[in-house]
Amino acid sequence: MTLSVTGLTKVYGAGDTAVRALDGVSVTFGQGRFTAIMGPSGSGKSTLMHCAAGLDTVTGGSVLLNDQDLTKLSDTALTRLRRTRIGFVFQSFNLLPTLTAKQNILLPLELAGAKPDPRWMTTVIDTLGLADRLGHVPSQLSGGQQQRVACARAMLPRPDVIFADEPTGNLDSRTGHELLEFLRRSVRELGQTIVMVTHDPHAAAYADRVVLLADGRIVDDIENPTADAVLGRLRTLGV
Amino acid sequence: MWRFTFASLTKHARRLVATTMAVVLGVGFTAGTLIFGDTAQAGFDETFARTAKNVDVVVLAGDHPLTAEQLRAVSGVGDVDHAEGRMAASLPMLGSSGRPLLNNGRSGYAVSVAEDESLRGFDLDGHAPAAGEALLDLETAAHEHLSIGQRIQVLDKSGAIQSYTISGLVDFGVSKKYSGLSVVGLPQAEITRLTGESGLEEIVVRARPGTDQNELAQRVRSALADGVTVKTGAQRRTDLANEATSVATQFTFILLIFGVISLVVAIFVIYNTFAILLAQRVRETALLRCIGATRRQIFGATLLESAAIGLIGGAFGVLAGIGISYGLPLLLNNALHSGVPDHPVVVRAAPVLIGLTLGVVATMAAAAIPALRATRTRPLAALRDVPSAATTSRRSKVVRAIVALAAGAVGVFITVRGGQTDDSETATFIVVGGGVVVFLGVLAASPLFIGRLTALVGLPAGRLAGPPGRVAVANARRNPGRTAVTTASLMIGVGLMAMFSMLLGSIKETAKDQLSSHYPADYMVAAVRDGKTGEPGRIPMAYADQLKGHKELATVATIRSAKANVDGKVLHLGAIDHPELLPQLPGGLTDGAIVVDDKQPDPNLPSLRTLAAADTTIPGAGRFDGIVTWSQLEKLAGPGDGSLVLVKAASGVSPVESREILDRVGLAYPLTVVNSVADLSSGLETAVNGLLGLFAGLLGTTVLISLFGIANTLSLSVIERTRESATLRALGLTRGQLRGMLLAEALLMGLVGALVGIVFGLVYAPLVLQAALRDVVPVIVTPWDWLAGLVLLAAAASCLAAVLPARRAARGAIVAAMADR
Repeated sequence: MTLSVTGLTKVYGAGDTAVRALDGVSVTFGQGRFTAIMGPSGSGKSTLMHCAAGLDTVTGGSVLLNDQDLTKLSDTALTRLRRTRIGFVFQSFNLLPTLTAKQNILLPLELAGAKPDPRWMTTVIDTLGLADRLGHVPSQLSGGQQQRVACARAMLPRPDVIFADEPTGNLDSRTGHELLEFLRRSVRELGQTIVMVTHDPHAAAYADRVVLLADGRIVDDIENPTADAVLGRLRTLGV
Repeated sequence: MWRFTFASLTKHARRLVATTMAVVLGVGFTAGTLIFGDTAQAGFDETFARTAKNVDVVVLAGDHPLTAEQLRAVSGVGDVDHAEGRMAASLPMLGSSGRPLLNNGRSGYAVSVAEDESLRGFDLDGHAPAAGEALLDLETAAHEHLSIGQRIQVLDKSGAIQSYTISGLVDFGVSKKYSGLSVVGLPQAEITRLTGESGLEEIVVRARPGTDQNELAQRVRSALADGVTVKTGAQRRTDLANEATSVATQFTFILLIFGVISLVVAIFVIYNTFAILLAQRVRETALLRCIGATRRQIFGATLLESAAIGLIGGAFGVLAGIGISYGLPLLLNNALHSGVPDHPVVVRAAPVLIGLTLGVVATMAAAAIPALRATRTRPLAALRDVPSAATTSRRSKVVRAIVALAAGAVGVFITVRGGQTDDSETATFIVVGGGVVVFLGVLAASPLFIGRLTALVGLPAGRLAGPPGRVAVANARRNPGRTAVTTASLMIGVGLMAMFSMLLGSIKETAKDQLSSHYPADYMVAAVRDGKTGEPGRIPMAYADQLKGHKELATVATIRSAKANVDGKVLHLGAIDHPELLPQLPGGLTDGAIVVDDKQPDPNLPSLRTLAAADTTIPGAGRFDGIVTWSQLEKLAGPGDGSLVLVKAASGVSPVESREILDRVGLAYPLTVVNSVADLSSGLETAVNGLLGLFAGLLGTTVLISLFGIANTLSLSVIERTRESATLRALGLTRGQLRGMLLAEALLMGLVGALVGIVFGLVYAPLVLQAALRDVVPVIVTPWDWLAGLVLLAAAASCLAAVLPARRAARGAIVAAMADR
């Protein structure tokens, strides 16, 4: 699996009010790696994620997932691709309130008309400790449990890449760390590729690599980051 | 608060369009009916009063027609400028087929054309008839495709055909007397020549200028003998206008009921809109409370908003009503041949004011409960996240269940009491009243069962459409209260349609059943009834004799009816020469005996032996005081012709063969009408279908309003679920699937509403029928084709309603929708 973004440009609006959210970003996310995208507010980190995940259109450049250019795909083709090849974990969980945990987890696969691999499903559910919560609807689950359901939903189709958008933003620090620990384990032990957007240096420290964005450009790329290193780098950006 | 209200109105303008449309339709129907009522009234006034135009004094015949001497006497009264006699006599006119034109078995009229133009009781298009010419009424001319210059044929008293050229056309409007019958206008002398009648119906008088009408009427009265009515022209016009009012009121009353129904349905839609809107606005409301708005101010602002919508909706509703009032006469005249006259639409102040008031009051009433609920918003809610799915407390569920059960129990009690009431009219009213209460109970209970029902109906959707189908079902039932109110409007419309279709269908079948079981013969040959009196004419005995000569006809029975004086009592007696055709008559009826009617007290006739009391109804002739033998009737009433011939074909003779014989023999007897069971059934069918079409048309408004209700609920839900939809899209739901999901949700709501309505209709229609038809055993038919059509209609309407919201939902960009908080 390779996901590489080349010369990505995204402009919102036109004329005088045009805002350049991404300005020629090129980056490659490696197989089996946990990458964090960081940057101050308005740096373009969320836009980069949305464009790389095929959720948003780009103004220029390309997004290659296994040599397939996502920017050239139709909406329907992109949608079908998202079902099984891209997973999502959102800040506010975004579970369907009318479906049970299990139905939520199975949703992307069912949309694709595929059956889950039962052993893989057991592995995911056990790893996330959700076995006794499968019949509950989201409103009966705690925030941490909801986010774990969301993780299971993202992992079950064995996607090429999971995008996590501030996954700990709505969690208390203990549950947040548990979740990050799980994400790191799934990369190390299960070989999952994860790209995470965060503004929290402690969260970023769980990643193998941190890509730092400011004003729509990549300004730094840190391997094996620590919270202090990331924090120090952010300070130099004047944030 | 004023400024806030205005701002929120303009901000949410789009969300309020559907609500406003519901107000427009609800008010439009009611205002339209009222405007139509005024218009019809004016039209009836005009046509009715037309006969008394330019008339200063009128003399109306009493029991006997007025004579030429009386006309001369009136002419001789001082200050009478001109007096004119008006006569009307029955005169059958032949249609293009060579048979008399009939309406309800009655032949047409001849009316005299006054020499004095100003005293004619009608407007004339063409010129007054000269020798060999005649006038014809507009309706007949249109029906028979006749115009000025063409020839018409009439039958004189001897049965000979006379021809005239049409010199002019006359619009008699809906004058009840002539309605539906052919009317030929001829000079008075010509009518006398044709019919042998010379009596006058009325004498109209034009006074010399400056004469007092009352004074002249007094003088005319003293110039005439008793037994006549003399009125001034003004009095006569008032009388005619009153007559017109009663005709116009009949129509408007029934229409108003439908207007009220559509208004009630509109209230449901308005209520729902405000409930959803305010639930979505909780943060905004809480923020207002945070910065110091009192509960009163919140309540006031919401009510103000509803009043504004009501006023706008009401104003457009009145405009729509004017449009509807143009359409209603067409609908009524086509479906019922009601003969509402053409008249420019009359818009009085009252319907306009009533429409606006209804709009404002109904909208405010519908918004009151949601507004009250909004005042309970706590300021802190502004700072918290708002749960998206409303949860209903157990207590409110229990309260709801108790209210629903109570209403249901009271309704069932009333219905049962109605069923036990003897008088069928009262019984029908009570049963219908009970039905309304039970229906209210069903409406109250619907949030409790609608979820399960939706799941049940949606089962195939989940199976067939996979996750999108399942999510659609879950969405449809996630807010049962909202779904219940949304579907309530459809329940009412579809329920009423189902009920009417079943009622009318069953009445039709019951009547057919009565026809075939009480109709002892294959054909009933009736004498054409007199256009003027409605009395049955005579069938010459030679006609029956001629029929008897054909061996294909097994039985030819002649029936005679006559008034006879028996032991000082005037009795309406009947006789039939083949009594075996009437199974209800006891055998052994001989001269000197009588079978008396079992529905009347025994007349106790010393001179006749009472054989038995039985049902004396003879199909086509009606009920008699008694039935005697043919020769007995000749003894009592003198010799005479029959008025009805019943014919039974021999076995093995095809209907076509026997009919052909009857038609051939009938050629020589133009004043006979051949009816068969099949004819009567098909006539009945046409009448019932016309009525059904009318009701369906009127209730169509209700369905239209509920369509807006569904669209409204759905588009508000779409706004509410923006993030969810975006999540689904991110997880791999295509735009098409998202659209399909909302369509499925709407379809479910539509089907559930239709089903509950239909079930209710199916339960209550037989009850109403049993209450209404006490004397006969009703044949209850379930009009499956209609019901299937209703389900399809509801399905199509709800899908249509979902189109716009679904498009809007699918159009949104995923990322923007996710960010939207």
